[in-house]
Amino acid sequence: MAEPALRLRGICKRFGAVNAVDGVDLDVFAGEIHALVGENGAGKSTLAAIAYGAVRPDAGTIEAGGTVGLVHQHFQLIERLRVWENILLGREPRAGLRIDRVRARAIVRELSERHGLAVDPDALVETLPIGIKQRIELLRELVREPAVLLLDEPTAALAPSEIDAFFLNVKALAARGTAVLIVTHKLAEVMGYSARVTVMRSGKLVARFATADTSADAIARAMVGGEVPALAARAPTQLAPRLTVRDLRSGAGAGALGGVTFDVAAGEIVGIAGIEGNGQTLLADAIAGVVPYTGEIALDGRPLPSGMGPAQRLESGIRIIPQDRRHEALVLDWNIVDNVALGRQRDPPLRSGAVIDRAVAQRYAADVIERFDVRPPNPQAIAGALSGGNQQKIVVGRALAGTPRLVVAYQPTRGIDIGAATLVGSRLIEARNAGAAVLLISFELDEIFALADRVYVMYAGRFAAEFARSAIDRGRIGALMAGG
Amino acid sequence: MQRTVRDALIAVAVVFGVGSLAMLLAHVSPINGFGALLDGALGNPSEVAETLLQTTALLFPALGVALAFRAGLFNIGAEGQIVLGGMTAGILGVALPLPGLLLIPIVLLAGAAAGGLWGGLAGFLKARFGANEVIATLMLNTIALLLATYLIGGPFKQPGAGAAETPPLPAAAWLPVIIPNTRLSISFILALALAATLWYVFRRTVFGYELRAAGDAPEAARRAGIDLGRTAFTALALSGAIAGLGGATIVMGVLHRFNTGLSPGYGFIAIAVALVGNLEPLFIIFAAFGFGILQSGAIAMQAEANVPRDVVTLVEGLVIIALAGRRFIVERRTA
Amino acid sequence: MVRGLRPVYAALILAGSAVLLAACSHAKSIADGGPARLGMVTDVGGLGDRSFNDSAYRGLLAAKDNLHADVAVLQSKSASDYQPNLTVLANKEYDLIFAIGFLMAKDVNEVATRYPARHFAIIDAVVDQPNVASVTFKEEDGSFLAGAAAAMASKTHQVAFLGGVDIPLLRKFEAGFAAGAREIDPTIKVAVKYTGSFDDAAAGKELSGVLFDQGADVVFVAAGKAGIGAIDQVKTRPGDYVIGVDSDQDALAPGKVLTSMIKRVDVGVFRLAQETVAQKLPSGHLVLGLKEDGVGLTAFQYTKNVMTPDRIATIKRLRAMIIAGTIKPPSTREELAQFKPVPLGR
Repeated sequence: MAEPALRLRGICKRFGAVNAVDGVDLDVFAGEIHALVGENGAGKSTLAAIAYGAVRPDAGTIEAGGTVGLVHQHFQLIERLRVWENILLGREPRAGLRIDRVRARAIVRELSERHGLAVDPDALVETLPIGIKQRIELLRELVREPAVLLLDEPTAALAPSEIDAFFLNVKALAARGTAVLIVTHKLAEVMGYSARVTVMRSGKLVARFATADTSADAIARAMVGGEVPALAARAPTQLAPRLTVRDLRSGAGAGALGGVTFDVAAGEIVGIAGIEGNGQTLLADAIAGVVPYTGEIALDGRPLPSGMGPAQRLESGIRIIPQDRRHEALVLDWNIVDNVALGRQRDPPLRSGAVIDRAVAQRYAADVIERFDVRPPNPQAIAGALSGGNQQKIVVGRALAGTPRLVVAYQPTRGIDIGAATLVGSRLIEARNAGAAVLLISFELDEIFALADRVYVMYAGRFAAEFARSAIDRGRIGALMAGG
Repeated sequence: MQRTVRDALIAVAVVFGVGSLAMLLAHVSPINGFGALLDGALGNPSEVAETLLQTTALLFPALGVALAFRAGLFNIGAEGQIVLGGMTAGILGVALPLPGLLLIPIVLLAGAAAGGLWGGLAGFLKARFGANEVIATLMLNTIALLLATYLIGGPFKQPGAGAAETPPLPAAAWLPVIIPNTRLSISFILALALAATLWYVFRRTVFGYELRAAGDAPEAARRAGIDLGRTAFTALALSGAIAGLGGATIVMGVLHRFNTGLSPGYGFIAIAVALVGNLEPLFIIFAAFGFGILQSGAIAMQAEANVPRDVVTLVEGLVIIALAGRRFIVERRTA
Repeated sequence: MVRGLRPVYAALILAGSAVLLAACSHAKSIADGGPARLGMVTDVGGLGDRSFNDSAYRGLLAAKDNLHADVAVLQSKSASDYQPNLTVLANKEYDLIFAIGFLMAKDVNEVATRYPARHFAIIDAVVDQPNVASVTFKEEDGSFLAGAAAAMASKTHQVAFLGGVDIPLLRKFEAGFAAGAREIDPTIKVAVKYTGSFDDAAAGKELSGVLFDQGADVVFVAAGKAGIGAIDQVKTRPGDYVIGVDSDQDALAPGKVLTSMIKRVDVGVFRLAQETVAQKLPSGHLVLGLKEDGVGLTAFQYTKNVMTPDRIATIKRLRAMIIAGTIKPPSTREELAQFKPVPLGR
């Protein structure tokens, strides 16, 4: 075999007491798509950052046969600049002292045609959908013609069709000789597009497969270090009317909610399938009481008028798992105890007189840590220092504590690994079994199919169709999501 | 905790570094300059009392500023709130014919109420119209000073006084002195008690919890049922009340009359004090003491070492810039 | 968390104490055979007011040069600075502490009570304490001469008085000035205005402009720093004059400042300094008038074209008559109402 384009030997990195990466070797060859998988906190993102040169390893060597490019999990774009300005940032062609805009646009256009990644060079980044932003991230790295391209969870925010298009582009890049390392936890992508897979667990390399010779189950077992837990069983439930929504409208323009009517009964999970940006955000926010709306929302027959704020909705038993856990759900500077208390601070027994009962707060936190296997299991740990999966466990754990009447879960397993996702899914099913109404909004069809009793497909702010669990038709739903 | 130590070290470094540089430019040895400063602040019991007096004057507004900061609000209006609190105390202290046991608490509360009204006005503008509280509190400073100048120069002027000031307060309205032959009054104890109370409020109470949530993660707080507008109003009103209380204690415990010049910028220095104390009430006590040393020692430094007092004003300003700037940058980055 | 912070402040205090031990030895006071230590606290006007505080400072510097005294000046930026400034000088055991201005009367009273062993002097006010010397001036005498000069120079038969704050002290200037003007021109119109403060140069400029616009052509400005604004104003008005106050302000706008009614605060300061150096710690009430050279006019150096030798001779005659008691310039508005011009014999 030829020399690898990227060669890592004996890489070690400690953060405080944690061995993030512990003696890992890795080769990625030109033309290869290599998947790096592992649970949250397994060290895969750290390893990618070390390969890129953003993090200095404590030990080990890195050799790269050319430039290394990295596309981050969280977009690093400057929202207020145009597409070409983002792509060429720091390497703008110049005419004297000024930027040669004509040539800059031409370069971006040529680049985007060569790689089949269509973008409008003059569009403002903040106006673009997530799929396009991802393309811009990729193009920004491709300008430098990297020999090695590192992709850290590149599809976390993409819709199914966008994911397919993205990987076609990545395959084309590899075919032209780029070495590609994809950090991911989505096994479907691993199986569909990679040539080899490296599995990490707790900072160590635990398995390496040729993709053709292995299975998703085998990879999952290596990631988890044992059998993958199964989803909780769905118990038969007594359906009773709980949430009724009639002609709900909110917002204007792209992403507006254009009139939806549906019910969610106690004891069922209703899934909303759709591509991001089709009104799901406003649907969740309207029920949460943080945006104004017209139409009717009622819980147990009691109407919730548009002006009713989150406090009263929380009081009536509505729990929201919001889209953006870092800003909408957690106080990142706070520890787990205080975060678990958020939203219940006025409810006895947590509130005792004017004071928060610390013993109760500790108990609540301990419950969530135990039921959701939060790691580290330290109630004093600061939320911002936890991995995304463990942050999400706190958000879900808090929402499902007690006996919620309605749970709205927006992408509850976004960006978290198999073990955590299965756990979150199981807890949602258990809440349903216990008689909660659950509204599950997700862009990932697999998640909806695994959890929902009924499915609505959402497109352009309205429901395009409804499917019972027994009548789910994957192809038809995928087409409806795209407006077909 | 690391941040607290780091901020305190930055402050100390700025004070000694820039202070030394300024003294060298004034052809004074920094050893003599800082020696005179520390000797003037802590050299004998009477000087320590003066330093604690300055500590007290800074502690009130610093606690107020910190309370607003904890709610994510930048109250730079403490100066105006001090003026109005002091003015109210000056007017009522003279006007109310009550015995001291009643007069003192009533006048103190009235001073706090006046400051609270002023802070609450900024809070109302923010909650109701989304006005930026930095601009609102800053503008209200000017209005407070002009209002006080007008009222004290006109309707409430002491006949025959050479400056715009109220008549002297009756002795019944004077705060009792706790160290004989000094000016240190029970306001010092009051300030310490207030710091302890705020510590408890932040740590333990639902109100403090909601305040901190609104400050640390407003969107998450809103979704957790916390009314951001009401929190902003309450925080700014309380912040103003604490600063106003400070103004009342200056009038009742120190000047024994109201004069529009009752504060040499305590409301602004308080921002540095609050930041050096990392917005933690108990640390703020120490920070206020540190700045109290600077404030009171600066006078002796000018008299004994011939270093202009402006050196201290300069380093205080730089501490604000260093810490507020750093905090702002850090918050922008993590936002 | 407290553990983290305490060492920082402890270190600060320790470092400070070390500096103290190394650097600090208290200066000997005069009683121990050292030089006299004289402290001075300005009012909010501060040094550079070209008026009252500057005049006091000149006296202090004279004491330093001629009496070999150690001197220190503390400037007050606001009223809340008065007591700390006085207290620091008392703590540092200065032999005599000057409080420049009646604004500090209450503060001097309080500090003097707290520090019975220290000595204080207050200018322009009377504080009745055994360890406080009070220095006041017969402003009405000097102002009388200023009024006479103004009336002589006026072509419009209209002069004006612009004061700082309408208080008894300033009314001495006002009454003396008006009486002096009437002494020369019994039908002259004397306008009176007050700026409301001693440190607002802008108000001084504006209000003096108003007075000139209303027809006065000589304005006597007794308003501290506000006077600087009036001098600014007169520079652009041909034929109009101002009369300065406290210090010699003639050179600030040569030819436009008719004269200055100087109040020799420096003389008062120096006299008390002399007593201190002689270990006669001053107390009681010192009144300085024309006779003591405590007040007076400047020598019309730039305005000889208006102030002819004849006129200057008249001023000198008036001065002699006041010293002799033939003329008693009024010091209040009530006395002014009773004032009758005295015939000027040869």
